[in-house]
Amino acid sequence: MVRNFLIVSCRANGDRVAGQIDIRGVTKRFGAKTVVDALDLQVEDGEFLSLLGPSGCGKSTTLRMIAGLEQPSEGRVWLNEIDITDLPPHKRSVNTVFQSYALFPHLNVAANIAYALKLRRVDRSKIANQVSEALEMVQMTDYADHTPRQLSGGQQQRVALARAIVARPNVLLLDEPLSALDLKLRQAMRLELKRLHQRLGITFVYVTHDQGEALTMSDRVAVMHEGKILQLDKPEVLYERPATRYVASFIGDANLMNAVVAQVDGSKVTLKIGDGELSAISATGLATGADVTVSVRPQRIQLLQQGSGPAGVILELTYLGDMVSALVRLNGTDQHLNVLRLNIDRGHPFGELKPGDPIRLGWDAEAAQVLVQ
Amino acid sequence: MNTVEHREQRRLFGLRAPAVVLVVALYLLPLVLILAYSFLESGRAGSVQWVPSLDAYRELLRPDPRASTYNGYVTLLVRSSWWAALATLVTLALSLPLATFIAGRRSTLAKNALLVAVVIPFWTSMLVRIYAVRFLLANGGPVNGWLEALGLERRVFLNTPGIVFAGLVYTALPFMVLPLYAAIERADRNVINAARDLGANPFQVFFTVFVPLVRAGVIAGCMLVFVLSVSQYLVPTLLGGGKANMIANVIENQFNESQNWPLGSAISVFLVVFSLIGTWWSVRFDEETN
Repeated sequence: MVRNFLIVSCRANGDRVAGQIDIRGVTKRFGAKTVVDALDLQVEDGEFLSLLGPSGCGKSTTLRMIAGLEQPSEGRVWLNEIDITDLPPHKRSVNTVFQSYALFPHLNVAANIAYALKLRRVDRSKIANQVSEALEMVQMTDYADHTPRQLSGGQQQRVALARAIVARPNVLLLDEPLSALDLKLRQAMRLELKRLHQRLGITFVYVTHDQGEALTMSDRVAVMHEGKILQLDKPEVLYERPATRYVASFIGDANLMNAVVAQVDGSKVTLKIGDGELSAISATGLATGADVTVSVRPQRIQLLQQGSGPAGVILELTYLGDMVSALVRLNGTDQHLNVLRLNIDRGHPFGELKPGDPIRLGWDAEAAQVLVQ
Repeated sequence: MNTVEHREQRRLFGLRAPAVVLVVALYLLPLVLILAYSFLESGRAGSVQWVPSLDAYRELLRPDPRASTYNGYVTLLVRSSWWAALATLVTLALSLPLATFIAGRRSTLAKNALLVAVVIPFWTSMLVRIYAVRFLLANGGPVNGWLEALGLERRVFLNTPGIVFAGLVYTALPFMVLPLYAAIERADRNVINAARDLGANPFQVFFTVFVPLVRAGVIAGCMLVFVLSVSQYLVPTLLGGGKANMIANVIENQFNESQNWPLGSAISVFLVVFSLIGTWWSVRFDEETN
């Protein structure tokens, strides 16, 4: 809601220039290796979209094809309903923040930021204004005369950001911009990037292998694997309703269990797990008797004295500070489950339970998701 | 200072000693000898007489009665420098695209193959290579044969200023390509991509980012090529055939035919000072712009 309000107000000021990207059937091959495989992706106007995946999944290559630094082997890239596939990078109103920052080492901070404006032959006085505004936006006003070499990694990162936004591109592309920073700085920068996105109202496409970054900042996240998008949705949907085994284990911790479909009732199914039966949600139609995998987050599993759920035994309890984790083995199998409880009350979060105690598992039907293999 | 540091320094000095001895014995001593010779009187059959004299320098700077300026030596030195400077620029213009092309190859194999192709001339004696060029371009040589076969007129290539200039560029090329290649290889490709991304066309990328990035390599290459070219002896001798002499030919002439060692030494001193000024200037330029 707040975000929408800001976009509207910026539009009233007339300085909002967002972009909508449409990638259609894009494939990128390097030699015999297919890095991006028939990719379709629509990025909405003013959206913060993350491409999330391990290294080599094609996310950076996708970004570079939007920037024009790589040419697709097949398919087209559209920006605001104009086909930009054959446009060179300097003719695209799209700017990139590079992982290595890639600042111009021979120019000072102010000249680095002014670079794009000078190329556009903006008036000198206007350049000075816009540069100081950009410096202020990333809180680097005091460093205008420094050279990149005199700055820390975090400071270089801010300058790279200011340099990329000063000319107000339609789309800002960010290629793992925080990966070279230490943890604390990384977390502070997440909030700043999000604020910057709201303030500028331009479209952000953010590439990362860090699920925490993707979940905290994005409007939508595309999980990529081997050149394809496995699932594209809001962060909470990705976490609560992972579609595939890969997404479930890539985003957060998930307990994956083998199960057999006992009964189907619309999207709700009853599963036979071990010696018990529990319900789960399935996105696709299933047949009774089918072998499936079910995913349940560690904090959503209940450890009960009795019930319809499968029986197991507690192997160990581990104190993690803010949480306590229990490792449970399902009886008659070698399946191990991780169960988490927040350490909020004075008592032990698992009550009287101790290693060796027999328990029965339980969960609410919507806590469990049947996965597509 | 603690003893460990002491020992460390002594050990480092021990490692440096051979290099120091080599430079002093093979480079500084002969240079001092040349400097001393230039202030002595000429002996009858070559060599020198150990009598202090400024004759050599008087001869070197004596105005030429026929020409309006100085005599042949200074004019020749100026011409040699001018040629060397021009050859440096031409070599740079040829080497930049080549080095960029090599550094831009994705496969290491292609990169190394191209580098080896550039370096191979280093492994072949320069004398042999220049003789080969002489043979190819001779009046009755293969190149003229091909020209004739194509229905074109025969041309005189050898013993002209043009072929000497081409020879300077030919011998200098690897010395320019290698430092340039090293600089381009070291440059962050993403910095160049950032310039393209921010709206620079290829022309603007080249002048506002690429050249500043590889500047150190450009300066190193230019310095090497200039110093190498200004003192070239083989190229003007074998390709110019005395029709397009450079300063090194005159120095050789003084030591051999004319048997005037002090004059030859004085011209050498002149050349060394000249090269030093050039080197000092380029180092200062490097520091200032950095």
